[in-house]
Amino acid sequence: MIQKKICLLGGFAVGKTSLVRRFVTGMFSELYQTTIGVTIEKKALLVGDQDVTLMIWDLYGEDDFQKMRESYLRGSSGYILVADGMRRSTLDTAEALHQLAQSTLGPVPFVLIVNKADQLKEWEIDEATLARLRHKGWLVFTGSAKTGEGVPELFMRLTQTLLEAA
Amino acid sequence: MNQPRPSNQPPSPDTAASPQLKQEWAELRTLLLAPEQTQLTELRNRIDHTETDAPSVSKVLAEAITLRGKQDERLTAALTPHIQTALTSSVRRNPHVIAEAIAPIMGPAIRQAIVRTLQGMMQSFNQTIDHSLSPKGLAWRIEAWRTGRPFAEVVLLHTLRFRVEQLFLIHRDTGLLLHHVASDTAVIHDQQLVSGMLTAIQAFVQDTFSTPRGQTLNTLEVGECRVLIEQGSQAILACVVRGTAPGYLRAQVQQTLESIQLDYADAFAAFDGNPSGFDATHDRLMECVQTQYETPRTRTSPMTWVILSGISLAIALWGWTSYHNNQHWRHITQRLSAMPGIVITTLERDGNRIHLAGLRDPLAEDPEQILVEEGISSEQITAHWSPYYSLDPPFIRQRATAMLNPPPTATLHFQEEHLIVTGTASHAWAIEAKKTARLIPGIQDYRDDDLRTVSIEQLIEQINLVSFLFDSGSSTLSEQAQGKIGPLRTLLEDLQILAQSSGQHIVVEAIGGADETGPETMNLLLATARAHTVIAALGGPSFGSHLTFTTGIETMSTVSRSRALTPHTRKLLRRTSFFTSIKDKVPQVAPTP
Repeated sequence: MIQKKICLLGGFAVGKTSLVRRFVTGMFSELYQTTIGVTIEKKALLVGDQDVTLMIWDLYGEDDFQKMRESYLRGSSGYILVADGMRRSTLDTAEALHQLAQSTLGPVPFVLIVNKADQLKEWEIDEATLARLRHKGWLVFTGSAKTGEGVPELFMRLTQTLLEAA
Repeated sequence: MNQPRPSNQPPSPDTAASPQLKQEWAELRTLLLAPEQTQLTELRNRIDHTETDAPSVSKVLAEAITLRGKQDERLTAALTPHIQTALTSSVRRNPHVIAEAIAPIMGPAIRQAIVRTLQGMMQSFNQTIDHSLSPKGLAWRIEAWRTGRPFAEVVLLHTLRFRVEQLFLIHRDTGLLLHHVASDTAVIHDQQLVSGMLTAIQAFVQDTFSTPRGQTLNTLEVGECRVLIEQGSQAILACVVRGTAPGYLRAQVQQTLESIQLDYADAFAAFDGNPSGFDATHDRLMECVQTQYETPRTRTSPMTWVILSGISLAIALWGWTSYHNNQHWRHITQRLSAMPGIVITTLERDGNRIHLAGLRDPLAEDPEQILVEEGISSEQITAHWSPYYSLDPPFIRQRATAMLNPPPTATLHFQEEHLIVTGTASHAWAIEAKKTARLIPGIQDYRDDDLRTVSIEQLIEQINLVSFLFDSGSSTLSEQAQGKIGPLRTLLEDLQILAQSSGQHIVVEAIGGADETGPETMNLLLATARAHTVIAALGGPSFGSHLTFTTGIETMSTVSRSRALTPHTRKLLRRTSFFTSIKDKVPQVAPTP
C-alpha cells in the first residue's frame, strides 16, 4: 500500500468539496458550504496491481479575502486544479494557483477539471481556451460533481500520473 | 675520484630500438618480474570484472555484515524491506515452512497474550468491584446518574492519572501517516485522516501566527484529552494522552522521535508514500503507550482517625469492663466456693441470668445472699439446691447443738471428729445427749468426762450450806465474806438455769441474823440490813426469771427458843444464811424488794 497526498486547488465555489465528496462517497449535495481552512478525505484505489491511498486535501477556495497557504501544499505529490465553467475568472485563478503550486512543489503532476459540465450552455469557458491549455501540456478534464461525469477518471488519471512519475 | 663510472644501467628500449634488443629486454623482464606481472593481471581482472569475484566476497561477507551492523542501523534498514518481501513471498508460496519455523515461539506467545488478557480482565474486574462496592464507588455511581455519563467514564475521570492512548508517526512534509500505535482501550478513528489534520493544524498555526522556524504547535488540549506534538526534521510524533501527562512523557516522546529519525534516515530519504518501511518502529512507539492510575492516598483523613480512636476507645472500654466483670465473677465464684456447707456444681452466666446449682447444708448460709451483696439482683438468680450434711467442724458442732440442745451451763466442742461436752448439766440431759450424739453425722466419738452433772436438790443443798459472818454491829461484808460471793453466785446461776430448763421456780431466802447485843429493835434492823447486803452483793433481787430472793431475819429472840446460846452460837447469829426452796410454778408477781 502506498499513500499519496494530493490537493484540490481552485477559486471560490468552483466545486472542489463537491468533487471530493462525489469521488469519496459518491454523493452530491446542492447545499453549499464553504470550506474554512482545509478538509482532508481519504480514498483507497487500485491502480494496476498497486494499492494506493489518496489523502485528498481539499483547500478552501481562493478569492479576494482568502489567499492560498503554501504550507498546505507542502508535501503534495500532485494537485487538481478546479475551475467553474460558468465563470471565466475561475480559470484565471486556477492558472495563478498553478503557478503558485509549481513554485512551491516543483514540477509535480497535476490535472485541470472544469466543473459544472451539467450546465454547459451557461459556460463562459470555450473549447478553444481548453485546447490552448492542452497544447501547453496540461491534462484537462471537463466534468460535473453533480452528475459524477468525469470525476473518477480525473482522480484515476492523476493517480496513474503520480505513480508513473514516482 | 669524480670521474663518472661506467654505467651498469642497460640502455633504454627507446634508445636501443633494435628488435633483437627489444626481445632480449622482454625476456629479461619476464624473467625478473613474471610473478608480479601475474598478480597485477589478476588484480586488474578483479577490478574490471567484479561479477566474477563472488568467491572472494563470500569469504568476508559475514565479517563485513557484522562490522557494518555494529556501526549503525542502516544495514538493518536496508535489509528490512528485502527480508519482508522475501518472507511475504515465502509465505505465499509455501506457508507451512514459516508456520513450522515459528510454531515453537507462537505457542508461548499466544499463551502469554492470553495470560495478559486474563490479567487485564481480572484487574478490570477487581477495579469494578472495588469501585462498585466502596463508598467512593457509590458516590461515583450517583455522579454518573446525575450527569448522565457512563459509569466507566466517571471512574476513569477520577482514577486515571494519565493514559497514552495513541501515537502517530507522521511524515513531516506530506502529513502522511508512517505508523500508528494505540492502547487496547483507545477509541480509534481514521488515523490517516487524523494524521493529515494534525499536520494541517500545525501548518495553519505556524502560518497564522508567523512563528519563527522551529517553533511549532506542540500541545493540543481538549478537556481531558491532550495531544503532545513533537516535530523533528523528518517526522512528527503526536502522542494522544488522556489525563494529566507527567513531565517525563514529553521527553520520552522526543527521544523516541529522535531515535527513529536517526535509525530510519534512509527510509525517510527514500519515502515515496509507502509506510511499510516504518513498521519496525512499532515496538519503540509502544514503549510510550503507558497507563498510570491514581495511587491510593496514603494520608488518612481526620475522620478516619476519629473513627479509629472511637473504635479503640470502645474496645479498651469493653476490654476493661470485661476484665472487671471477669474479676468480679471470679471473686464471686471464690466466695461461693469458700462458703462452708455449699458445694457448687453449676455456676453459669447466660446474659444477665445466673444459674446456680449444687449441694447445700440446711445450716449453711444462703448463697444467693452473697450474689445480692455483690450487686446482683435476686431476680437474675436461678438457684437449685440439693440438701446434704456438711462435715465441716462448725456445721457438726452447730448441728450437735441443735440436736442435743445443751443447757447454757454446758458447752459443746468439736475437735477431730470428737464431740466434747464441758460445763454443768442435768444428769438426765447428760444421759440423753450421750445417746443422741452418736447419731449426729460427722461425730465419731462423744466425750463428757468434763461435764458435771448436778440436780436442783444438790445445788439447793450446797447453797443452803453457805453463810456470811459479819462483825458485831456491822452489816458490811468482810473481806473473807466477799470471797464467798463469787462461788455462791455460780451456784445460784446454775440453779437458775436448771430451774429454767425444768420449768420450776426457786425461792432463795436470805436470812439475816443478829446477836443479843444491843436493843432488839436495832438488832432487827441490823439483821435485815445484813440480808440485803448479801442479796445486793449477789446481784440484787432480780437475779433471774426463775429465781427469787426473799429476806428473813434470825434474831436472839427467835433463836433462843430453839437452842441454847454459846459464844460460838452467839457469833453465828451475826450471819446471813440461806433457805432455798422450790416452787412448781413461776410466780406471776414481781419479787419482793
